[in-house]
Amino acid sequence: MKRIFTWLILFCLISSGTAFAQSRTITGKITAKEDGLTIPGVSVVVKGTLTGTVTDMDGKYTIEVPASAKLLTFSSLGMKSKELAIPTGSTLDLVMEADVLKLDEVVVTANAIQREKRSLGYAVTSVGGEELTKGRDRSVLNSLQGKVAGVQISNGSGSVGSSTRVVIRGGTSFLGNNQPLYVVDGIPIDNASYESGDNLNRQVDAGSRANDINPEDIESVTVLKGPAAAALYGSRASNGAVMITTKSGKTMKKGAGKNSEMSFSSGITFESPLKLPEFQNTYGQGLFKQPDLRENTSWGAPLNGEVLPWGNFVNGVQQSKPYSAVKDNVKDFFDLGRTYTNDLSLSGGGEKSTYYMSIGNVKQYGIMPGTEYTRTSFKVSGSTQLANKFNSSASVYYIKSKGDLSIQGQQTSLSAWEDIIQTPRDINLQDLKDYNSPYNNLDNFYSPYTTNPYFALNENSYQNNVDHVIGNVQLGYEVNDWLNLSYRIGTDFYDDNRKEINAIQAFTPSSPNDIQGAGTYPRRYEVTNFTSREINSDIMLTAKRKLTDKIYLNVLLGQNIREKRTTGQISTANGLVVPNFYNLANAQGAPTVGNTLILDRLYGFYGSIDLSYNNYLFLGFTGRNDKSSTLPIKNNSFFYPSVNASFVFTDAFKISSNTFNFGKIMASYAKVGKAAAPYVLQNTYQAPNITYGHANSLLNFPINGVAGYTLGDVVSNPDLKPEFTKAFEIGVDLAFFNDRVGITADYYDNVSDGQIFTAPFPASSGFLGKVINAGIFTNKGIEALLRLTPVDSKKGLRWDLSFTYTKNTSLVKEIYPGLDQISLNVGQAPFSANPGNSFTGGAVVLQEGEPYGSLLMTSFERDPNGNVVVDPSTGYPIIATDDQIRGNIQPDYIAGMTNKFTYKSLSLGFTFDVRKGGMMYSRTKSTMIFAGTDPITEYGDREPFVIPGSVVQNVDGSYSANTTPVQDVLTYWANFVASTGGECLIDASYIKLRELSLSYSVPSKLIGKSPFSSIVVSVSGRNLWIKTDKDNHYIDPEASSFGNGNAQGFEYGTLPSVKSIGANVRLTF
Amino acid sequence: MFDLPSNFKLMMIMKTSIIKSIFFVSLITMFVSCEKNYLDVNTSPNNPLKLLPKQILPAAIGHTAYVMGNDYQILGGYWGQFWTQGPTGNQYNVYDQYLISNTTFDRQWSDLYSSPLMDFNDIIRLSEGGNTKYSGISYIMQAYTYQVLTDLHGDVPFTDALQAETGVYTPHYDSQQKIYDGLITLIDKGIAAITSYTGDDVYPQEDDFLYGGDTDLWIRFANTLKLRVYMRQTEIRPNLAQAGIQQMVANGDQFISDGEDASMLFFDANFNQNPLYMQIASLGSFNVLASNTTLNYLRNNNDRALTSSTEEQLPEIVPVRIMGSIRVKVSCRVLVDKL
Repeated sequence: MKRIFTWLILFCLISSGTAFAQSRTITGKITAKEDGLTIPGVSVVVKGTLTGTVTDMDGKYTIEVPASAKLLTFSSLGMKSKELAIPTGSTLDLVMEADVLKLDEVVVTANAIQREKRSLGYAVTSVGGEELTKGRDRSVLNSLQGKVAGVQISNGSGSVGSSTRVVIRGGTSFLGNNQPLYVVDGIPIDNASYESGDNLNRQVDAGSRANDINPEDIESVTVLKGPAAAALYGSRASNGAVMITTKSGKTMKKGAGKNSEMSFSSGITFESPLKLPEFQNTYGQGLFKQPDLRENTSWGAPLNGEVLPWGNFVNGVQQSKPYSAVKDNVKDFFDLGRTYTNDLSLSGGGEKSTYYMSIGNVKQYGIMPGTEYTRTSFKVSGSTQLANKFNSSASVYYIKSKGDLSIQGQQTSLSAWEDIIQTPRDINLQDLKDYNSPYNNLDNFYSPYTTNPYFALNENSYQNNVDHVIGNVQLGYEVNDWLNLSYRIGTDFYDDNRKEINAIQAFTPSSPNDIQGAGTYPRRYEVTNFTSREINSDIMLTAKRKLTDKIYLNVLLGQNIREKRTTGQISTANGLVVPNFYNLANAQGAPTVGNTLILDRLYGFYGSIDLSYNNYLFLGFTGRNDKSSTLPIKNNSFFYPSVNASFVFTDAFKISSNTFNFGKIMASYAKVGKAAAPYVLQNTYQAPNITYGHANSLLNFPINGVAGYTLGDVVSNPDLKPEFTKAFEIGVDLAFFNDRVGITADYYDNVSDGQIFTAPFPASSGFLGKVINAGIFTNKGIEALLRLTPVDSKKGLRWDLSFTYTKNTSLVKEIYPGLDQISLNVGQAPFSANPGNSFTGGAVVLQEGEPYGSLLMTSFERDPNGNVVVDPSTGYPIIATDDQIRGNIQPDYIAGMTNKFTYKSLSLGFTFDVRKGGMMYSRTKSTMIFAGTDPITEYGDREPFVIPGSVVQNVDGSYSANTTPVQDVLTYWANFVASTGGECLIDASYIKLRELSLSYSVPSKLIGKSPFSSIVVSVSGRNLWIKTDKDNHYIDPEASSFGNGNAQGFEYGTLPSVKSIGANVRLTF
Repeated sequence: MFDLPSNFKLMMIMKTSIIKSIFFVSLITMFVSCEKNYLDVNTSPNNPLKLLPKQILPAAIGHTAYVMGNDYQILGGYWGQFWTQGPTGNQYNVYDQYLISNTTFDRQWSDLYSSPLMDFNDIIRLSEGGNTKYSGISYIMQAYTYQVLTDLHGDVPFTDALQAETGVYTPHYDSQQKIYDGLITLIDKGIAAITSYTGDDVYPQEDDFLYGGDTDLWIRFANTLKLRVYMRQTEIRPNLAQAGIQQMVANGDQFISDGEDASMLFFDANFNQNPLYMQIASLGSFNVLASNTTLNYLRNNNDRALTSSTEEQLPEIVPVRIMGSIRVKVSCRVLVDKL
């Protein structure tokens, strides 16, 4: 060792060409400004040379400086670098302070490798754990909303435990997965949201598994925004990646007086609906402006406060009540939601090892009475240096979550929401609470056309119970100081068990509500089980070498083996015999069953070469070759490369000044392949799908014990190839005024071709389509982040501000010759044995020449100026023969703003999230118009009116103004407007106050001799305020009935989203 | 501590370490790549890849019966004025008022071609050189189905339909005349396939929902079908019709009679019920009501069909819209005969 050292000195001295001069030794101690503790691991370098050292565990350093040297530079990750003159004496102590802005200088990139941000030629954003827990949302993905440019994050339902959808830069696939890869500590995990039901009739959002991760356990989240960033991960990262790094214990600082740290956090939040529809309060129960005590619509007489009878006669007696509006009827139906969160963690470590253990619990009572969600998480991880240059780490994360959820959708017998928005304005929902009382029970409920919402809510249910384990073990070997070998194997496994109960509704014969009999109401019991297991094994060889003075080389070679296995089992009792006995044995006839297994395997070889020149010019190459089980065996291998470059020109041209202190420009180009879904290469037989469209109309096999199968309807393609995305990106990262102002901006241009989808043909060919590679999908856009620190006073007041802006232009450039439209599955669940209703008012489609997700809807006929064309004899609109594209689900832009004020121990922050543009279909709007509860139906005092702006078509094809009023107002609203999908669209824009938090960190003086090292008390809220388009007085546009799948832009009676506010205390000791 | 080996030490260390690591890595990768079968898992365990004709026939017959017995039957019933749209409902106004458009029967078209017709082709393919009773039944069922399709739609794809697997994605439409000629060919092929089978396979049996594998009945059915094909052409190609029927008489061809209908039995188990019943029950029984035209005809002729069931159960004949006595050719006649 010593010999080498001597050679080193000689070598350096000779090569640097300096004259031999007396060198001397400088020693010193470095402490941190914040707490006075010494800092190990600080890099101390003689400026202009390669001579350097690092402070030891006691924060002390010793360095030999040549006589000609003038300056020493001190740098450490997370701290502001310092440059000091070499003293005449032999001691140089200093104090270093934390560099808040540069904390994102090191980011976790693909394969959990840490890289300095300056060296990356592609866009990456990091969000620290502290930022994620501010709003106290139980979902880590929701906590990112408004904070990351280029990423659209939506949480589709106010239901407890619901799923979250993330799309980076518009996605890359027509029909494939458009969500990024989710990675926890280097292990990919699954975020699919599986619905076993039929989203139109029985919609439930049972969550997605990335939301299982407890935000308290997270150290940081890095979003890799494009294929260049994620190239090492292969095909699944063509949409980017969300890298979650969990806390893993830390080597405690010496002098802190402890070698472990325990932290306890407890909080409570209260939830209520964020946005409820506005209702009209002028007309009450009835039809055609006349009372009708059996109706559930509000088309009756004007409300006048008179005490009048209502409901059915029971034993000859009828109830009575004032005929006036119950203004807060819907609002008062909801409970005040409560969430209780408790977390305990223990972390620590010594020189050679670290450990971390945490237990967390979230218990949430939803706004929908009776709904609940519980999540309990338990994490243990540790890392250690072993003898003989080995190191190892392991982590096990177990999460159990359970939900007791309500069912939504269009069936009044199942969805309480569907019932309450149609309740006549004068009937108080609270009067219906006791659904077993003589006036409120099934037989005598006031209307035969709907169900008591309390019955629907209490007698039907959907429960899920998930066991989720994420674990990994890693073993590393330091071959020598520049070569490292490591092996990691990890798994993401979960088991999701669900039960759905649809209660029998039996009516006593001759009772007022016995019009169609119990047979028409869905009564079922369904048991579902999904499991998903993914295993990833990676061997990596990394080499870091200095080639010359200024040129460093990093090489990575790796091999990945991956297997993903998903199973699903659904058993449904269609029809129950004995009421209140929910068991498959109680089925009327044999239960229908479905059983699915999907297995998918992959080998990948990957490598990257990264060169850096003088720490300001960086060049990187990656290459990956995948072999996937889902592609034809003879041709299942595909290779894709990427290149990225980054140039910190302020360092290169030495133009860094206080005004303009950092400037970097970067560019990258990547090509990523995406394999097909499993099992599309062969045409198989399948169970016949015999129906005429209604859920009760199926003919299922076996019939009388005889089984039957039909040839599949899709011609398979034995020559299928992967989809490819080519992504180009260019960006800048600039900092001014000593980092008080920073701008990061990126422009990207992604082209995805060879899309895998089923091209439909005429059925007369014997098949409905063929799986092909075709189509071009492009996404171009800009993302920008501007951060400012307008105030940073010495007195301790600091104001940080940041803005994000994302504009993505998505385009379905080409589909297939002769085909210009593909429909995204609406209302059909995967794994389901029985297909559901298809929505007949329209669909979400991919239309050539339009952005992803056009709303193709049944519409009124319109003239070239957009005026409604009516039938001159009735005044009613004419329905256009063909469905029309009425809008697109893509926003024009999304933006966010985060503000943070810090003054000594107080900190106040808030985040706004803006989405502008895009359209969506709202069933809530359609139902409210149909039922006459929407204020727009008050138009013209409900007397026949001429549709504003309407025209009639003349014989010669021209149009003239219409003078015929609609024959009947109710028919117009209910049978025309509400029943025509394209007339029930809303603008999906919104501005939301996503987060507001105020926290107080009790000063150390006050904590003093207590066992605590820190106490932080905070008050926070999420989704506190929303402003939507002026015509959207219905719902929060983030709503979606299709979980986090591709068909967005459809709200089919989902629960309103919630705003929450609460308090939390965190103790560290 | 920076520890930079000097050049020559470097080479030595590099060589051995790299060699060690490469060796280690290649060992693992070699071991893994040897498992060539590891990636061969792309055969779906969720659906069968190969089946026998007796497992496909039930689905093909069942689906055909479903389409015929459901919307097609309602259309025929309405246009034949046996049934009509009840005034309190509006589900079938479009049939009742002769307002059907070119898309009204899209689903049935799409289903028939891509499911049963294609399945029958598949059975024919699978039975080649084997149990040709199956191919016989398939030809006959295809003839039956194509006749209904062309009667409803006129010109339809026939000669090059069902050939997507060989790249024919947009088959052309044949003239109804060509199709009617083709029907005879299909029926004859079917009869020949059944009669030429000399093997000892007892199937089809319970998988044949119509005749339980009875070849004699199938041939009678085929002959009856052929008779109907000729009967339909008595006004448009009378010579051809006459010649064809006379040929059949000369051959001594047998036809089906009472109780030998090609009809499929349904069962009272969930989703195994008669599709017409399921449709009427779920959409509301007020949609399909007895039409006065036929009801009055039966009454005026003291038809026993009425006295045995209908009249007693109807407390009152609901007045229905009389659509006039439009003479619906062909189909009406045959159906009336089978009353």
